[in-house]
Amino acid sequence: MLWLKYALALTTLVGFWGAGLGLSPFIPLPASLLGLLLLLLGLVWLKRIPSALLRVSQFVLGHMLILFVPATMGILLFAEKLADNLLWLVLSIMLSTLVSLGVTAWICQRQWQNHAHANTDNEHVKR
Amino acid sequence: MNMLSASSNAVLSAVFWCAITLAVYLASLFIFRRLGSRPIFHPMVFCIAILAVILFYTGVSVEGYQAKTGLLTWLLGPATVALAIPLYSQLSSVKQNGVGVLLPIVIGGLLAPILALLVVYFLPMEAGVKLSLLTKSITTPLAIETSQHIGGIPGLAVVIVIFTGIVGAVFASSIYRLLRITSPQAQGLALGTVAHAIGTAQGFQMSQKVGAFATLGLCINGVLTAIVLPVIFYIVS
Repeated sequence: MLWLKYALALTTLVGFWGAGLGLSPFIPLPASLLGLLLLLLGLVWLKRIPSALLRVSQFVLGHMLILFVPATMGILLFAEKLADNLLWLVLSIMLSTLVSLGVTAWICQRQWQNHAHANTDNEHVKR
Repeated sequence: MNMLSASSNAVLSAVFWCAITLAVYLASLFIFRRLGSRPIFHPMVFCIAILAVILFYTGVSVEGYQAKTGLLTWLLGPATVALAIPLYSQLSSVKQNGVGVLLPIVIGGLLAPILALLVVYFLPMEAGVKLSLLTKSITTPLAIETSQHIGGIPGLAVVIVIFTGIVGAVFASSIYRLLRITSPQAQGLALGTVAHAIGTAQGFQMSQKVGAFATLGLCINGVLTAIVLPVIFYIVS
């Protein structure tokens, strides 16, 4: 019975992806993104997450990395083609990724701290 | 009859290569945990190395391997849809901290591609290669379609996206220690914004909360980039 529920949850994910694919000729956004937004709308309407859907999505997202493996092997293809500029490309990607990771996290931490202070201040005022 | 056996052969070899990929993934995960789950030994690094050796000895080309494991790549679509669930569970915190959530995502989402483009801007490269850098921080299924829209090379865009993700996942905890980023919200949001789904997977390794906020960054930056980039290119061209 539990397996049936999990199968149903998996079908739901594929179904919403299919719905996104059906919508993509009309809305110029990637199909998987449209499917994601549709499912989000569905959950907002439902006001809760069905437990089987939660379990299945946690499993799928926890092991999502394996789905990237075939595409990742493309690294071997382009390493030869881009040999002349490879070093610069690698440098560009590493530098931009590390700097923006640090900056984004730093700004976010500051924002949340300010917000937390503002919240506690407000509560003091209320009291 | 001949056609039937040819197609069943194709199915068989697709199942075979998907099974190999699964085995290599599990082995990489095992090695990663055995070595103390240090980000520097990211499972993806072992996956590439082991599979490269297997492909070399079996004489299968990378294109052939990708064609045979098309099922796994196709599943990325439904898996991306599954991101709606952690996103839904964080909706209330987005409502509470609207700007606090959006501002870092927008800044990170702009900074990553602009910096990448600046480094290679004056180098003699094909325009398509440079344009492929612009989708570096968004998740693979979105990057493929967006890169097509703006004149990048989709195959290269995917490689750049994944390399970005691995770099982000490997170095995130060192950067956070260096800059004293301790809040799980900030750690997750930055990982998801800059290093998309691979960063998000790393986030879920750190904790459920970091993972949930990484999902938030991944989704919002993915949506914004997928909408904004084609519009900018439409105006410029």
